[in-house]
Formats: sequence, structure tokens, C-alpha cells
Amino acid sequence: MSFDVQDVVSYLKSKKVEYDIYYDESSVLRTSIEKNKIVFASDGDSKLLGIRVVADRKLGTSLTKDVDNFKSCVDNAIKIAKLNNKDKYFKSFVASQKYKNIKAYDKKILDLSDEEIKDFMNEYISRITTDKRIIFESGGYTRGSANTRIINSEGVDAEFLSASNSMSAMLTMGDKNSFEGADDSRSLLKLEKADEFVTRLKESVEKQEVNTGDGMLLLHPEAAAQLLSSLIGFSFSGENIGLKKSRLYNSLGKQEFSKNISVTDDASVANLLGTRKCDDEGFSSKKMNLISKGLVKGFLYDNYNAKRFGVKNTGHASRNGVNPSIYHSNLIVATGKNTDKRLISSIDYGLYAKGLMALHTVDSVSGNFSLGVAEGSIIKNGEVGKAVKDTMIAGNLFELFKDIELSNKAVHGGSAIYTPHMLSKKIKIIGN
Amino acid sequence: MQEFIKYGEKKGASFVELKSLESKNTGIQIVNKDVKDITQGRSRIFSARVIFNGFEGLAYSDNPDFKKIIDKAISVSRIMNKKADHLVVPGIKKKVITSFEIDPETINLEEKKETLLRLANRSGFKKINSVELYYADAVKKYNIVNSEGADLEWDDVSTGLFATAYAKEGTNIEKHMTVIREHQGYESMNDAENKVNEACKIAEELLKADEARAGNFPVIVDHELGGTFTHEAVGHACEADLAMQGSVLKGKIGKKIGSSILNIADDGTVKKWGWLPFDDEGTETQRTIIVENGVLVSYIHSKETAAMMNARPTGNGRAEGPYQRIIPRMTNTFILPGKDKFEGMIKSVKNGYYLKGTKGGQVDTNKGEFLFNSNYGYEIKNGELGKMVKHPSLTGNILEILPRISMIANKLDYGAGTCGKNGQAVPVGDGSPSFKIDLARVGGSK
Repeated sequence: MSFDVQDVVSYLKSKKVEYDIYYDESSVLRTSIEKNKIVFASDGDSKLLGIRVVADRKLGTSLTKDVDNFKSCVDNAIKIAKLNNKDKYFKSFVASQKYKNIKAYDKKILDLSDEEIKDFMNEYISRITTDKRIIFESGGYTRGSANTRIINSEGVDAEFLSASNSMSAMLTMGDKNSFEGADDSRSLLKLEKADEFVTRLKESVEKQEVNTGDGMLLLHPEAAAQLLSSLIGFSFSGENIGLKKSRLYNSLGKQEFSKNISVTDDASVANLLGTRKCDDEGFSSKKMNLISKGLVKGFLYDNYNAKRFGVKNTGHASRNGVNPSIYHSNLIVATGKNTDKRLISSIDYGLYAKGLMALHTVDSVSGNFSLGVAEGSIIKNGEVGKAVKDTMIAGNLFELFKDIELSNKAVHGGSAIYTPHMLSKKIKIIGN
Repeated sequence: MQEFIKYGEKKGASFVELKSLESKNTGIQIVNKDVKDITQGRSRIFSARVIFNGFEGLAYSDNPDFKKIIDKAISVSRIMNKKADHLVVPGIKKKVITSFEIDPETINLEEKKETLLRLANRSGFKKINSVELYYADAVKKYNIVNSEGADLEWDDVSTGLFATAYAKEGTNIEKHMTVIREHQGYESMNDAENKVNEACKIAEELLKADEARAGNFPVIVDHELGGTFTHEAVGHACEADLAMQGSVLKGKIGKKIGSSILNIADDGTVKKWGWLPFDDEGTETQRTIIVENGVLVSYIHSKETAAMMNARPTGNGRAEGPYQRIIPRMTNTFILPGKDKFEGMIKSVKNGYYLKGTKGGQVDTNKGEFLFNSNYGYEIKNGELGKMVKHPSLTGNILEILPRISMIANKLDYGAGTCGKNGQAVPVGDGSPSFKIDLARVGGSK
């Protein structure tokens, strides 16, 4: 029996309920590399059907991966709706939308044959192991694609394809030196990233202990993206604003951050990791300012929370199943004036952090953090020195972004965040 | 599924393993005394793992067309350029049913919802701004068969509750989370009220807590933070694949890595959150002593790593689901009880910290560096517990810290968590008695 999502629509219509269907067909090819060899590969596909129904303002949700039995999924959602209390905040699902055509991924990713993927991995391994002291210990290439369809009783019918590929690599040089890196993209991956990984491994070979004290903090785009993700993910969520869990709940229009920082959320830039024509409820995506010259300009909302708190939907529903949560698309940090080198040369004493550990331990409410430095070096008198070991930084996210300078070149730092280097004037560096 | 094993062998596969996993889940989320979500779901997945011309391939689908899945697994095996290290082990036949008192499917949704709404109403805690509860139960049927004779089935039931309390005073907001996760029926909820009250109490107390001082101190860790430390800092470095990749415990079997009072085990037979009757390769789980009297005595293995290191599989070959690669993973990992009394441990510290609970952490197994954030702690001054501090972190190097464990309490407690490795999340248990580290680096902003 072949599944047709229109059969679900017909069945839901026969039940006379408001409905919202999220249907996703995905396939993933994963490989593993160990000790310079391709040791494992898997290939699979799966389908997911999420149903939300509303009857008499009562919401019921159900999901299934057994899509041929969609009727039991629908019946279950209706059963749950009957049990649920009336939701005083629910008004309606997303209204019918017009969508712009957006280039969300490079089709060449899906055209790659198994043989071409094998060749790419072998070339990647070869570049990394040009210096015979280096071993590609573990990692691998992954390619994923998804075809998502969102249909609701308000007239939304959105379908979009996406594809991405990624490479993770853990490299070692001798017993004591290692480096972990990752690259992911909606365009074909570049072999030059392998060269960057090797350079960063070699830079981390000589390590020094640091003394506890205050210093400046230069954040590589990867470390900057880690901290920015912690800040935006919680404190700019419209739900957390509305429930007053975010410290910024009364900050709209206020100067909460450095005048040097501006952050936009923009789903329309071609082929970036967060690019999409609409969010996961079918709401058309639009560019919006979150921070403009340090002023708080907006928060992220999905359909439910926008209606609940009486503001406009911003199109930031994200879901991997039935229930949406709020998540950004592409976060783009505006560049500053100084080159990366000039920022470095302005530092008398500080830490250059390229990677931070245990980001999930940041206290999202207060913004307090105490994080390990996974990859970093001390900067003295404008010169980058040896890598650091057993080092932490401690501070507060809100304070950190109050006094910050940015460099003039932005790159992907991870999690669909595109940012330049950032220089913070004061951080607690914890060592000996 | 046996007929499809023969199909795979006819196609030329020297090893065929087939799996099916079908599950039913219920989730209820309460936010601010309102029901935010009630969701029920079903999922099913079918997989085939083959060794073809010496190369391993895995394929999966939600459609139980095993012939197609086997064909795909054979096709994808051609990407490999290293032959599989496969240990031939006669398969076992076993059917296991998780024991429970109350089947969660017999409690109707209305009753579960009302219980949670009552739990969320904590009017006795005046500074609690919000209580968020997430209840989950799952019923699973898992089958594994392979061409070496394995025929295994596990009918599992689990329930859990995550309780997060937010306390607010002025602009100061603090939160604390408590967790129940058990391979049990609805009887797990018997302790729910205590757990929600604990979350509220600690969140309120954190409003008054100070920041910790940064520096090197004697530290006593409780069973939760100790369990996380054991799992993250020692357990991962003992996973055979990571040991081969150069973890700090590579080549250290038979060598002293910790103090003589330190004993650590991984045990999938203990009925805690990491309990498994058999691993994802069909190997029965067991108690594996990892560290004995401070000496590293064993790694934990999948069949693949056992073949590569000329060792025996230890029942630690695990995957997040049938769609993922099997790699060595922990089950329940814990420090065995010592002889010390907690009170005596506190008395032994002149100027240090007692750290409690865990917000998680991270470890670089190759460098041996780790960082964990505790939920809260107390200063210890002249052998007595002092004022509360919030979210102090603990960092250091595994090989420097393990020899500094000087006291271990005589009572072992367990915690439940989800472990991430290579993009795969699996349920694990960890545990420890409280123990003392003579000198460790504490992170705080003071």
C-alpha cells in the first residue's frame, strides 16, 4: 500500500475538526572513518506523520512512523483532544500563506554517487594524513535529505526539500595531541577544511598552564556561535519572554548589549543551514532584526505563542514530529571594522578561545557560565602564544555581550550562526 | 524473520542480523498549572546488518520489507575500504519481559493528567514562579535474530518524570530540575511528589546562594556528581573504541591509575536506567570490573572491539536504534562503596567545597580533560558545612584527579541519564558513593 498524505486530509475532513499535518520523508547515508579507513556505512529511510487536531478549542496531538496506519494516529489525536482542557490561548492554525522561491540547498549533494562519496572521503583522509604523524582517528561523512509537507485546515499547503552533508573528524598526532572538528553545509563540502583541521591540530601541540585572573577574551567564530546560541536560544524565545523566564522580558527597544553588535535572523540567504521558505508550521519566513546596535529589536515566535501573547508570528516554529518549539533560522551577526589580526594586536593579555566545552551547562536563565576551553591559546602583547590546558572561563552572557568588538569577516560558526571574531574586554580566566 | 536470514545468506552475505523495534509512547507536559501537550505516538523500524565480501553494511526502513533492506545493506557495504572485524559467537535465545506492578497503559490519560496538575500546584512554595513537568512512558518490543543463532526478544516498560521549578525574587531567577527514570510501570510515580518538592525547595534556596570562589580546593562530591564524573571521566576513556583511538587510558591495562581505595564497575544487569538484558549485538550483559584497587583491569567491548583487541565481548555493544552503528557504550557505571562515613569526610576538610548534583559536563577522552557543572554546593570551613553556592564547576585531568581520591563513603546511590556519543543517545545509569578529592579545580565567578 502506498501512502498518500491526501488520504489523511480526507479522513481528517470527515471528522470535522481543525487540523494540522506535518509529514516528513527522510533518508540518511552515514559513514564512519577509523584510523584512516572507511569502516562502516549505513543507508536508510523513514517517514513521520504528526497530527494536531482542535475540536472545541481542545488540542490533541499524535504521531506515528507507521504511516500506513494513519487512521489510528488521527483517531488518537481526536481522543486526546477530548480529554484535554480547553486551551484559552489557542486561536487557529497558521493562515494560508504565499511563499517566495528560495534556494535552500545545492542539488549536487543529492547527485553524489556512492562511488563519488567514497572518493571524496579517501581524498579527505589523504589530505589529513599527508603528514604521516597525523591519524584520522574517527569521524565520517553524512548526507541527509528530507521532503517535508505541511497541510492545515486554514489552507496552508507547503512542501519543501532540503539536503545537507557533513564531515566530522577527530585527529591525533602522537599520544597527547588531538583535535576535533566538524563541517556541515547545504552545499558540497570542501576539501580545504581538512587542511584547516590539520593546521589547528598542529597549533595545539605545545600546551601551557595559565594563572587564574582577569583578561580579554577573543572568540573565534566557532566559540562565538556557541555562546550566541546559548543566549538567543533561551533569552530570545518568545515563549520565555511571555512567561517572564527570560531576563529580557522587559527589554524590547532597550540597550542591553554593546552598540557594536547587530544580529539578524534571515531564512532567505541561499543554501545556508537555516534557509527555508517557511517554518515548520507553514508560516512564511521573513528577515528580522533581533539586536540592532545593541538595542533589543525582536523575539522569536511560533504561531501558538504569538497568539498567546498577542504579538505577530515571526515564523520560528521548528519541529521534528508533532509539537513545535521555537528555534532560529540563520543567525547573521553584522561584521565590524577591524581585521582579525588587528583585534589580536590590541590584546595585552587574554585568551583566544576557538572551542568551548559543556555549553549545555550554561545557566540559561541568569546567563552565568563556567566553561572549559577545549581549544584555545593565550595572547600576550598582541601575539598568539601556546595552546592552553586545564583552563576555564567564567562570566555572564549578558555582561559579555555588553562590551564587545567584532572583526570584519563572518564565517559559519556552527548551528546556522554566521559570525565574525568577537573581542570581549574582560573575562575571568581560571587556571592554576 | 528467520526466512530472511536465509535470503541474505543466499545473496552471499557471510553474516546477517535482522532487528525490529516497535514502540508506543505517551508524553504529557505541564507548564504553569496548564496542560501544554499530551502526545501519543507509535514508531517502528526494521534493519538489516550484513557482512558481504568482508565489508559491513547496515540498512533500515519503517517498511518491514526485509528483502529490500538486505539488498540495500549489501549495496552500501561497497563504500567501505576496510574489512569488518567480526567475532563469531554462538547466538543465544532469550525472551525477557520487564517486571512492573502497574502497567502505564492501564492508567487512563485523564488520571495521568490530573495527577500531574496536582503535582504542579506547589502553593506552599511562595517564591516558585513556575513548575514545569514532563511525564513520559514507553512500551517497547525489540527483536534481534542473526545467522549465528541469536533469537532475542525484550518487552520493556519504562516511565519517567522531569520536574523543573523556577524560583523568582526581584530580577533574580533560579531553577532546579529533578528526575525519575525507571524500567518500571506507573509505580515509579509513587515518589513524584517528593521529587517535585525537592525541585521547588532547591530552586528557592538557590535565590540566596552566592557564587563559588574559583581556585584549587579539597572537594567532596555527592553521588550524582560522582556518578557523572565516573561515567564521563573514567567510563568513556574505558570504551574500547576510544581507548584504541588514544584515550588517556590507552595501554594502561594492569597499570595503577587511581588511589588504592578506588573500584569501578560497569554492570548492565543492575536494574537501573542503564539496565539491558542483552546488548544490541545479542550479547548477554554482565558486571565488568573496570578499576580494581586503583588498577585499570578492563575496557568495555562490543564484538568488533573484542575481535580487534583479542578480548571477550562484555555486553556493551549498543546503538541508539536499529538504524545506527553498534559501538562500545556504558550501561550502569559506578564507583563501588568504600568504608568512610560522610560526616567524617566533611570533618576532614578545613577549607573546601561539597558539590551536589549535576547539570552535565563534557570530557575530552584523548586529553583527559573534563568539566562538570554541579547544581549547587556548600562551602566547608573547619570541618563544617557552610553557606550554599550556586552552580560551581569542577575541572581537571582524569589521571591527575583519580589518585587524589582519598575517601569513599559506604553508601552507593544511582542516577539516570542519557549519554551522547558519535551522535547517538542511549539511556545509562551512573552512580557513586560520596567521595573526597584532596585537591581539585573549582570554577566560579568570585
